[in-house]
Amino acid sequence: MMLNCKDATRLISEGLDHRLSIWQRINLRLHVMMCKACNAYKRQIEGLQRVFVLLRQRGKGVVPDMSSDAHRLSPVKREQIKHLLESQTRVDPTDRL
Amino acid sequence: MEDRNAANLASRSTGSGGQTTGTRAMGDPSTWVDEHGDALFRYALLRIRERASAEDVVQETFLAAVKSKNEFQGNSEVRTWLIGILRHKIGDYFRKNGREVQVDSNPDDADPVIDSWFNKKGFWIKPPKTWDVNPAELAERQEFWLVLQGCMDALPGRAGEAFSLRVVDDIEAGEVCKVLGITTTNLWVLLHRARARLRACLEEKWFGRQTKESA
Ligand SMILES: [Zn+2]
Repeated sequence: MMLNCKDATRLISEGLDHRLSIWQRINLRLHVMMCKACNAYKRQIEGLQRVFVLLRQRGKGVVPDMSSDAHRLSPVKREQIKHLLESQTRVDPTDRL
Repeated sequence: MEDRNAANLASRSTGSGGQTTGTRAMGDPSTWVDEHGDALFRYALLRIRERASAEDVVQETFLAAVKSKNEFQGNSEVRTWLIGILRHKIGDYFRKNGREVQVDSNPDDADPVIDSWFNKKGFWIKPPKTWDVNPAELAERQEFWLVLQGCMDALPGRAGEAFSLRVVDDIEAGEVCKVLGITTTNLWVLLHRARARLRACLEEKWFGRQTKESA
């Protein structure tokens, strides 16, 4: 049974998330060999996945200049939360139970 | 009391059984903010889309967590547990502000946007252009990051959440499923939708521009 492009794109993504069955892999390989569009799609999707891996590696789990600080807690808020947590842990509320 | 319930629900939803003597340590609460603060903030921002409120919700989350840290069951990661609490806090925030809790399309339903790219037989109507990704080069480029960020912000509800947790923050698939309350198959569907839309967005906003410029 031949895959159509819609199924192929789904399998291309799923291939990044889990190991496809042998038949899925064979069908996908055949389709991508013959279909220029899905071939391009596959390289793009896999390339993007790789971009995220690289970004993570540089940022130790936090995508790096992902920051431009727009996507991180502000330093002020960070300190504020830390203080609050500290005051909370000093008086353990479970003692009152 | 309300906090306690949120944390309780969160820990319950992350699995049954398990004693406080779980396999995973929760670490010292004083390190939580540095270790998990940005990840929680990004998640909150994704849903709330407004910086100050997202920060406040993250703060409430940490406070609720520290109050109920004895309920952490150790059968999930601390971060997953915290995100579970955060999700309840976000729900509270939406209710308080009269905003609908976002209910977006079920992963089991068809996706009209993606469907529109294909004809009845499932072949491309508007095939992808041929552009190549050079990951090493792109990862270095700040302008690319900004465009990518814009595209990620445009991802719909749960697809965006799934992608952000699994791919951006690299949280294990099983943990992401627990946090979102979905099956593994659902997760694959959501990630596919996110990737497909990101690709289309980048083709329009980045690669389309690049080829035009070089032409
Ligand atoms: Zn195809």
